[in-house]
Amino acid sequence: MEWITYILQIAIVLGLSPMVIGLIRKVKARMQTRVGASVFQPYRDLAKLFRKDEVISEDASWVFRSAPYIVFGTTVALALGIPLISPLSTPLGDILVFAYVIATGAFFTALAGIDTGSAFGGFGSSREMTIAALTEGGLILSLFAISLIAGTTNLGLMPAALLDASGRALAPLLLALAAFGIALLAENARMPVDNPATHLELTMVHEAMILEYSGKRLALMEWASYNKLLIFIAIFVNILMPWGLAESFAIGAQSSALAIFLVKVTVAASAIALIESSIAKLRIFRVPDLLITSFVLSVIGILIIVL
Amino acid sequence: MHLPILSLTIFAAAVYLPALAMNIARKNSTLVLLYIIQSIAVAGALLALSYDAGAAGLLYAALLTIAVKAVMAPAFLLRLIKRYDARFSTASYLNMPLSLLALSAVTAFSYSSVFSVIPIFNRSPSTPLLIASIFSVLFLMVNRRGAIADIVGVLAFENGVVLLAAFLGVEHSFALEFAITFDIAVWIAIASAFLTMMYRHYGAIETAILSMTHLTEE
Repeated sequence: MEWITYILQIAIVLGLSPMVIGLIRKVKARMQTRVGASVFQPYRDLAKLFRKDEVISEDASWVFRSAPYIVFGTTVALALGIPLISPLSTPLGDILVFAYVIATGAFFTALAGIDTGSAFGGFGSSREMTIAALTEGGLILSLFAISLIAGTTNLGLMPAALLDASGRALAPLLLALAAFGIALLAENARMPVDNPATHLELTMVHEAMILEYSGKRLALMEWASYNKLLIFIAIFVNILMPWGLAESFAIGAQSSALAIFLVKVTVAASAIALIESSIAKLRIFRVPDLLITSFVLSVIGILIIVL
Repeated sequence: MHLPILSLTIFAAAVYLPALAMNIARKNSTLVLLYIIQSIAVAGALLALSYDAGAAGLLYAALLTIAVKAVMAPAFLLRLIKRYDARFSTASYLNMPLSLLALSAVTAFSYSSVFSVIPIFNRSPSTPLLIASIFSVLFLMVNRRGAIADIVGVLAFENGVVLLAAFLGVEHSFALEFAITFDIAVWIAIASAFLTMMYRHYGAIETAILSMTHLTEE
């Protein structure tokens, strides 16, 4: 029956991720006293892009052509290892595999950014690699701190293990989650690290790297970024609120777990919209301060657990 | 004191995490908000102790703590922030990465064997957490140049000490808590007068921007 869970995991991530983006945009619009587009608008955008023809630079190599498939593939692979609606144990759920599959996606996105020789893509890739290098420490250490508390390095098994964690784990768990939250914003090009809504050359990071893409490949790149955000949110909410996961393959248990998961994701997406509406984007040379904060919060969490 | 370890750790974490966040926060109003969270945690701990001991005096002390520490003192501090237009407290002696490294060192020190002389140190995870919160706010006072951060630091320091004393089993009575809250009220009045004098004399309440021309007696 495990294969059903795998199919369900992929279906949920691919099917739900555009709606999460739509929800964040809708909440942000409401906070700016605008009506905003429908929460289903990202689905329409993806459908439109999949129907469009592509324009690819003559200088583009196989890296540029294949990067969207690789980046999209990494997010599908990650969907198989994370806790969504039921505990599961796959090698893809190991924290180091998770971190390096994420890094592989970022690496190919950055390569694609510089492949066409565009100045925009070049500086976007440069900034992305700077941010990724600084984020990685905080991301891995925050997951390591959580794994010390849970007693497992497998993301899929962490929520169930955290339900039995002692009260001593509360402070380090919250510190690790704060660190993971900062890494979530940085890895997904959200405020205050990057502004996903801008095409202003001085502020672009992620958007600069995919500026040369169009049509189907752009759709894949956009969809992959939606998936990545949902994957990070799923880990965050299921570790912060580890209850509500299905304990059997029965349809009733899976349905109620899905409903609880949707509520958790809605809360997290609204929180991201609230953060993005209430703070300004940091200048690029202030970003390391934030990312080092994530790293040190994880270190403090680990110290409290180990000492 | 017979409260379960989990309750103690939750209260200790609710004091430690805001103490840590105070060192990261840059807005003075955020510092005050974090102090309110700490104060509510202290009042919650006193309520739990009163329930555990069946002492009505501690219940009144908890209510008094909420009134003074979570309502009166923050309102007073917010008024000071508005009056002196001191919304931000960005200036510090150490930059953010170094400050955070110092805080991790402080936390590690709080868990060291130096404190094993405290009777329940090895049995209760909340004790080193509270010691770390006390050191974290001490570091805040030393590291920040703004007077508001120093005032909030002193108040947060007192929160950590009160909770540590409660958890170590020091007898708590309404009279003791009343004296502590009275002490807080007096401290706020003194701090307010001190800030007014400082502002009148130097034209600023942050050492980073004190007017050097006013630093000598005429």
